[in-house]
Amino acid sequence: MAKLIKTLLVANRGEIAKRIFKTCKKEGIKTIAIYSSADTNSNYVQEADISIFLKGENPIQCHLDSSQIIKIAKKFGADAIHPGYGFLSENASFAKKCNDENIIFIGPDPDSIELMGDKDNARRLAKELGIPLLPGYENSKEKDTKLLGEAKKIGFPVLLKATAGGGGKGMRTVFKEREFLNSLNEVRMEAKNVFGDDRIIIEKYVESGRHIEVQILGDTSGNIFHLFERECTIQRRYQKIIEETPSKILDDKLRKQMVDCAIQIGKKLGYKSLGTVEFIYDNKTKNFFFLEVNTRIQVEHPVTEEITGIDLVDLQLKIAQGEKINLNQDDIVSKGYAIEARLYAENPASNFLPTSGKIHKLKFPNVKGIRIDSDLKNGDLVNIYFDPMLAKIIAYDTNRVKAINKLNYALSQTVILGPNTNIELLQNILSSTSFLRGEYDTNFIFENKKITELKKNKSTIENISIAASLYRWSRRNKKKKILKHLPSGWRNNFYSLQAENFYFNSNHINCSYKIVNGDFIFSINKSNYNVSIIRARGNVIHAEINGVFKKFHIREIDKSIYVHSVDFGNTKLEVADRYPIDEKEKEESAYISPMPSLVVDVFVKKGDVIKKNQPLIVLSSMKMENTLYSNEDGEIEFINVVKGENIQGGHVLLKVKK
Amino acid sequence: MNSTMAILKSKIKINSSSFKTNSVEMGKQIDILKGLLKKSRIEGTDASIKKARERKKFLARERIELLIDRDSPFLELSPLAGLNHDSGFGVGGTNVCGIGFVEKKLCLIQSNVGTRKGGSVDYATSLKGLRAAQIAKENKLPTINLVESGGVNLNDQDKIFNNAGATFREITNRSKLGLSTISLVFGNATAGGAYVPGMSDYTVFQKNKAKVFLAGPPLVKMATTEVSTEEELGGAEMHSNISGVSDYLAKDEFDAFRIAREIIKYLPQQNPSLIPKKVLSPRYNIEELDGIIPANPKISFDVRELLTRVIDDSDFAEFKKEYGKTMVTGWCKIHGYPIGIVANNGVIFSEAANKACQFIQLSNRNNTPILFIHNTTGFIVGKKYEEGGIIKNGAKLINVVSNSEVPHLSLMIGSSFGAGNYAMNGRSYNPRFLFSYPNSKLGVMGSEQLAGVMEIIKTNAAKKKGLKLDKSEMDKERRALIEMMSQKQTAWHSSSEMWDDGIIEPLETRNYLGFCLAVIYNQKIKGTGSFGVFRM
Repeated sequence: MAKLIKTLLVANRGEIAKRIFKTCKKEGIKTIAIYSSADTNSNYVQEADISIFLKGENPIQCHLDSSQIIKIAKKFGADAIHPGYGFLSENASFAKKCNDENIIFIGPDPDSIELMGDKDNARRLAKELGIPLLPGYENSKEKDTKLLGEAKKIGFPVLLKATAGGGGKGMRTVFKEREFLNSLNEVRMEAKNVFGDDRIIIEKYVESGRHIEVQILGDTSGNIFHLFERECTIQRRYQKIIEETPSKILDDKLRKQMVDCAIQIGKKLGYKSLGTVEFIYDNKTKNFFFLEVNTRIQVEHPVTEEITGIDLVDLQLKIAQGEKINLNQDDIVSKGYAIEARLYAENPASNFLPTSGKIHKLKFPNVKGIRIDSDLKNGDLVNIYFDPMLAKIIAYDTNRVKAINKLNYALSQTVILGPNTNIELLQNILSSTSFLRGEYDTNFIFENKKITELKKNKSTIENISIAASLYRWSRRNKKKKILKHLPSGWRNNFYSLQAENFYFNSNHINCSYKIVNGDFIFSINKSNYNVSIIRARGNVIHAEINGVFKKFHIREIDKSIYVHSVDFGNTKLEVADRYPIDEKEKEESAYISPMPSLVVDVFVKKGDVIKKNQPLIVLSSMKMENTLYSNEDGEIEFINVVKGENIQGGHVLLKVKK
Repeated sequence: MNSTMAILKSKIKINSSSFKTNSVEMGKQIDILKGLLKKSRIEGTDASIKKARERKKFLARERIELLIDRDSPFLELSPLAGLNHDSGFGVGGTNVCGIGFVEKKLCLIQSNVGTRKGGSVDYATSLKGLRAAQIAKENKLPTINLVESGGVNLNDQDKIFNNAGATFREITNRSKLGLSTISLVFGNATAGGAYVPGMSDYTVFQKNKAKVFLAGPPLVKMATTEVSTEEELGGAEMHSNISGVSDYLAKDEFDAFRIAREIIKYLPQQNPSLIPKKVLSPRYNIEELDGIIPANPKISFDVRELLTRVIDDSDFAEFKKEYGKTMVTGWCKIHGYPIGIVANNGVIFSEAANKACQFIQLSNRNNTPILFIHNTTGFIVGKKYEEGGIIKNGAKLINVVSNSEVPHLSLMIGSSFGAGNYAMNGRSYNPRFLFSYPNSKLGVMGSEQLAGVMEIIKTNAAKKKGLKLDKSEMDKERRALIEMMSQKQTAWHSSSEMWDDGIIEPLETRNYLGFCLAVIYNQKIKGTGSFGVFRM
C-alpha cells in the first residue's frame, strides 16, 4: 500500500508536534496542526502550514476526539496522521478508523497496538518466546483471595499494574500482605477511571531496578532493527525525567541479549514501525526482565537520534509510506553519548505538584551539542490541562561525563522566570556522585531526600534578594526626575538604612542598604555585602557582590519577583507590602482562589449562617481537589462563583460577614 | 569659543602642612557635630521607647522614613535647635522637621517625637515649627504633620504661647494660598495641640490611638462634673463618625501612611520651573574642603577653591573678576540648577560692595537665585574708606540684598561679622535657607576685637575719673569676656538659636545646596527691578 504522504496531520500538540513538523518541512510534506482553546497562542500552531481549531469544552477531550480529528484530516486533505505520544497514539481503534478512511496512521498496524496495549497479552507473547519475565500473574478475573494467594506465591513486594495502563498511572507497589486487598481495590478503581478497564496484573516488584528500553524499528520488508537502548531509570511518580544512552550498566553481552529479545518480539509481531521494548534490570541479580512494548514514538527518542544520527520520525514516515528503507543493522552505529533531561513545571519540594502560570522570561543557552525540544516561548501560559513538561534538553558528547557536564551547564544557563520548575532537581541529580558513577535505581529520587529538598542556602537567598533589591532600586532610580545626582536616599542626619522586604517561601527577608559613593552596602540577616551595579539595562542586572561579578535576569510581575543567575538558578520572591495589611483584616475580607481552577462544588449560598471550619467550596486544578473551609463564624455576604465555572487565580470566591 | 576658559583651577597642595592642620582641626569640629547630631536622634528614654514599642507605635523618625518615597532624600532642618537651652528637652527639641519627597512631590514634614517628654513642645520646638511654616510658605510646599504631642511645656509657656498661636495662623494662611496641610494623628493632640489637626486641610486619625480634645476627662470633670473617657472625648472613631474632626480613619500607622500618600498623590501637580537634564560633577574632590577651610579664621583663603569643589564641572562664569577683588561674583550651576554666587574673599571695600550690588541686580533681571558665601570680618574701616563712602556703598548693598526677589541661600564658611553679615544676607535678611560650617563665627565683631574695644572704653572712662586699673584684673576680665563672646559667636550657638537651618560638614556642601535649589526651583523664579532709593 505504498502511498506518498503529501499532507500530514499531527494529532498532538506542543513539542512533539513541532518535532514532527520539522521532519515534514525537511521532506517537503505539508503540515496540519490541530489545537484546542488552550493552545491558541502556542508555537506549534503557528509552525504548521494549516492549523485547525478543535471544537470542544475540554482541551484534553478535544485531542481525544478521534472522529473530529479524522473529519479535519479528510476535509483538509491529510494523507496521514501522526499521533505523536500520549493522546491517541496507542489507540488501536483510532488507528483502525484511520485505515478505514484511507488515511495512513503513522505507527504499527492496529493489531500490534491492540496486542501490545494489553499487558496480559504482552506477557504471554514474551513467555512464548522464552524471554525472561518477572514472576507474575495475569488472570485478574479470579477471586481476590486467589489473587492474594498468587501474590504470596510471587512473594512480596509485588507491583499491581493496570493491564491497559501506561504513563505511570494505575500502578501500586504492595510491600505487605495485609495491604494487598486494599491496594488491589484502589488500583482497580483507578484503572477503571483512567483506562476504562479494571483488569490488573500482579508482578514481582524489583526493589532495586533500572529501567532500560530498546528502540526497535520494523520496515516494510519484515526486517526488525534495533537502535540500541535507552536507560530511563531516573523517575518520579513513575514518570521518567532523565534518559540516557548508552546505559552504563549494560556490557556488550548483556546489551546483545537485550536487543535480541527486543528484535525477537518485533519479529513475532511482524512489527512495521517504530517501537520500544521495555525491560527492567535487577541490580541484585543482574538479570533483566521484559516489561512491555510501546508502539509509538517515545518522549525520549532524541537521545537515540543523537547517538545514531538517524531521524526517527523520518523513518516512521518512510515506513508508513511503504518506502523501502535501505538500512542494515550494521549501518546503525552508536556513537558517543546522549542524555536528556525533562524540564517540568512542578514543585519537587511538595510532592512534585504541577505548577502553572505565565512564563515571563525563557532563554535556553546556545551550546554546541545541546538540543532543545520545546514548544515554549516567552509569555506562554503553562496551562492546567496538559502534562506540564516544558522542554526536553538533550546533550550530546563523546562520553558520558562530558555530556552530563554539558547538560548541567545548559540547565544552569537556562533562564525560566515564572512557575516553579524541576530544573534545580535535575541539576542536583546530574551533580550527584552516585548518578555520575552510574549507581542508581528507579527509587533514586525517592530515596535521596537531599536531592529533592532543594534547600537554598542563606547566601544564595541573600544574593538573590540583593539582585531583586538592585532591580527595584534601579527601576525607581531611572524614573527619578529631580535631584538625580543627589546620592540615593541622601540624609543629612542619618537615621536608618533603606530597605526592601521580600518573602522567600514565606520566610521574611529584610534587605537593608545604604549607598555610599554610588556603591551599595547591603545588610541582610547580619551579613554585609559590598555591592556595585555594573550595568542595569532592561531586565538584566550586572552586579558585583563581594567582589564576584554576577549577571541576573529579573522580572517583576505584580508582587512576584523572578530572578535567574547561573549560580543560583531560577527563584521567585514575593515583594512584601510596604504598608502591610493586618493579617486578621485580610482573612476577614474574602476567600480567594489560590490558582486557576475549576469550581467543583459550592456548599453554601448567600445569607447562609456558617461556622468556623465549615467546608465552603471545592476547587480543582491540575486534577487535584482542594476544599476551602471557613476561617470564622459568620454569614455569607456574597458568592462570586457557580459550580462548574473555570476561574482565574486570585479570584474572589466569596465573602463572609462576621 | 574656548569652553574650558571658565573652568576653575585649584592651586591647593594637599600635602602641605597647612592642609593637614586644617583637616585635623575641621575633623575635630565635625566630630563635635556628629556627636550632637547623635544626640538629636535620641527619641526619648529607653523606657518610653520600650513603651511605644509595646503599643506598636513607630518612633518619630521611623514615621518619616515610612512616609517618604523609597530612596527619597530627606533634608532635616534645624536638628541642633535648642542645643544650649537650659529648659529645653534636648538637642533638636521634640520634633523632627525636614523636606522629602512623598509621591514624588516635595513636602515639608514635621514629626512629633512623642517618646521624648511626651512630645511636649519646648521653646526650640516652637521655633522649629515656625521656621518650618515659613519654609513651606516661601517654597510652596504641602505640609505633613505626624502628630503625637502632649502640648506646650508649661515651664516655657511664656516663650511659646505666641509662637504656638502663629503656627495655627500659618496653617490656615497656607491653606488660603493653596498649600495643604495634612495631619496624621497617632496619639495625643490635646488642648491647644488639637488645633494642629483642627486647622489642617486633611486629617487622618489612627483608630484607638488618636486622642484629640480640648480638655481631657479630669478637666471636664472639674469644669462640668461630666464623667467621660478619653475615647469618648476625642477618639479617632468619635471624630470620624460624629464630630467630623477626622477625615480619614486609619486602621493602623501603615494605613495612615498609605492614606497620606493617597492624599498627596491627588494634590495639584508641582511644576518645577526647571528639571536639570545633564549634571556634571565638580572636577575636584569635595572632601578636600576640610583641608582648605583655614583652621584659624584670621588666615584668608581663596573662596574659588571652595567653588571649584562644589559647582558643576568647576565651571564658573566669573563677573567683574578684576574689580573689587574681595568679593567674588559669577554664575554657575549646582546639580544642574543655575545660581549666582556672591562670595567674600576678605574685607568688603566699596568697590566690592558695588560689584555685588550690580551682580544682584543682574541676577534679578535674569531670574537666577543667589548663593551668598560668608567669610568676612565686615566692611573696611578707616578714614580713607569713610571718605570713600563705605557706609553709603554698604547701605546700597544692604538695600539690594533686602529688596532682591530672587531666592537667596546663605552659607557661613568662616567669619560673618558686623554689617558684613547683613550685606551678605545673614539670618535677618531672610535667605530661603542658611547653613553654617562648624568652624564659622558671627556677631557684631570678633570676640577679641570686642574685648579690646571694651577695654579701651573702660580705660578711657577710668582715665576720666582718674582711677587706676589693675592690669591683671583687667586681663582676667578681658579673657572672661572673650570666652563668653566666643561661645555666643559660634555656629553651635547660632544653630541652637536657629539663626541657621543647620550646621553642615563641608563635604556635604554640594548636596545641601543642590537639595535647596530643587526646593527653590519647585516654583517659578522671578526677580525684581525695583529696589529702595540708593544713596548716591
